Amino acid sequence: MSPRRIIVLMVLSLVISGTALWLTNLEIEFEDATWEEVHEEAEAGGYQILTTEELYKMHQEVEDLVIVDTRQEWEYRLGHVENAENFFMQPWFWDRWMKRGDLSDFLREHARDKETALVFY
Amino acid sequence: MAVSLGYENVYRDPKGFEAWKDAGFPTVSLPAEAPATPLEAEGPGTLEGLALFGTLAAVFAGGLALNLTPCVYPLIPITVSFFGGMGGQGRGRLLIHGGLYILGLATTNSILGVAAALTGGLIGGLLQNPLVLAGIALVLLIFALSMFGFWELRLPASLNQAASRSFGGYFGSLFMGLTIGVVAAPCIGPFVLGLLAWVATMGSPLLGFAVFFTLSLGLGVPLFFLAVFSGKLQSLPRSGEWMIWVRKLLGWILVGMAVYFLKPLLGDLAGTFVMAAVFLAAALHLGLLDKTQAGFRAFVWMKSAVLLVGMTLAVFIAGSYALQGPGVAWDDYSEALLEQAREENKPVMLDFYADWCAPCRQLENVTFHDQDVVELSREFVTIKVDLTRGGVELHDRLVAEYGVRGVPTVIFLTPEGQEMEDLRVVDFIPPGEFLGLMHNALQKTEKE
Repeated sequence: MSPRRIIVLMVLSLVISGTALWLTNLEIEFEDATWEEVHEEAEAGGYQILTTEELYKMHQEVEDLVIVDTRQEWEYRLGHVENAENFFMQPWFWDRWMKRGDLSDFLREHARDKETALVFY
Repeated sequence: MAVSLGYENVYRDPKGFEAWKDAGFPTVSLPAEAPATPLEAEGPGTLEGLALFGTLAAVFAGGLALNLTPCVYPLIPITVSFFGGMGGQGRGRLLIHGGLYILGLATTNSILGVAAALTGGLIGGLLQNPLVLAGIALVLLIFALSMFGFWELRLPASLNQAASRSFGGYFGSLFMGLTIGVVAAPCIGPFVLGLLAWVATMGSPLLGFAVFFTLSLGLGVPLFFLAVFSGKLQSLPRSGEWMIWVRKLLGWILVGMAVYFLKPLLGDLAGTFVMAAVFLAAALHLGLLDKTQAGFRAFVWMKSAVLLVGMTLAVFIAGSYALQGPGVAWDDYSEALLEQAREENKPVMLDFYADWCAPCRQLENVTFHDQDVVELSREFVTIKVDLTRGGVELHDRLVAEYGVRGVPTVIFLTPEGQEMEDLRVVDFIPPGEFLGLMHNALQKTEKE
């Protein structure tokens, strides 16, 4: 291997590892999502946003409502909305397609037809 | 997501359960003794989804790479002469023969894998034992030395011959496949052993089978093509010096595995730097110091790639540790630790954590890596409960016992195991505030 090639490789490895270190050591910004962001996301996803009170109204009035609790099973067990079913999805984007088949089965089991109202929380 | 599945009335309540409960609307909770869904027996850290796919892809690549080692290479002419003898048969039958051959090979290896996984519970327990860990690491290192060419590992010649004797018909192909693993064993043995120990830590028979079947497929695929299109043998790179380089590469992988097993013994600091040193040494040895030449240009690129990847990983591993500095030394939950707290009259810090929760990571990366916090934490027994994966019975019990409602939750216990309820932390808090809580907990302990 020529000396030039070795130098290029060494510099390259320093650059890559430096970038990786910088990216993995960024301060984690954590803040609650604003209502605008929630609504934007909902619009992009094609679903609607409910407030707690609206959900309560539906809970009381809509007969074949399916409420889905997406938290972990132990959280569900400690307390959940009355009549809610547990379907655990981690808040990661790949769960959205990794668990797609499972969710399809889950909804087929719990929802009567495609018009049935579904509420996720 | 439900929208894309064709459902028309989809809603989301972003405020979730806490707001619902605070408003006083009807809720249901299940007793901790009766899980909502029956818990499936699950080994520690079963791989799922993408991680499993990635691992299997890596194992498959490992199987492919095994084909390049000198020990497997002599099998290629055996394969070709065995299948070349079937020249009179049609391509369809040759494909079946090739398939049976690979099936036999996969079966031999997968049985090994499943056997390892079935004893996984036992081996998993043994893997906590420092002596066993050191033993495994030693064996891996000895095999690594074999890969580096310091000694040769081979089967007795008579067994070698018996195993490679040809049988007629489809059974012959199957038998050939079953035995070719035996013939190649001196070569793949150390690699398989490394995988065996690794699968044992996962503790799942299904995973063991998947891993070894994939390894075998990787090992067998080139042989399959060779068997069916045996005329193409001449186009393979000729067995030469460069395959000794591949052997050395596998040797370094074994050294890395040995360090992986030694890490719990070495401690965080030494383990991290030894691992980084192994990567660096492997990169320099394989990329620079080794003067192996090969008659084809791709070899220079292979060397360059090893140099680049090894050095990058070495700098990255050492760098992340140096940048973050030592953190609070958490232990996994055990009753023995609570016992120890009682004996030494130390308060307990119990951290409920999950990878997917941003404030948890922030708490870990900022607060629990703050120098003052780390120093003061030595006055505590520090226990972390990692809730990243659900379904661990012990964790479910702890969550119920301490009434944990979400992550992060940090609980301070008196040496006697009573919670100091006013000190509970349920969100990210900066190091300064956390230090206050720690002092508070220590004062309470001293007063009693």
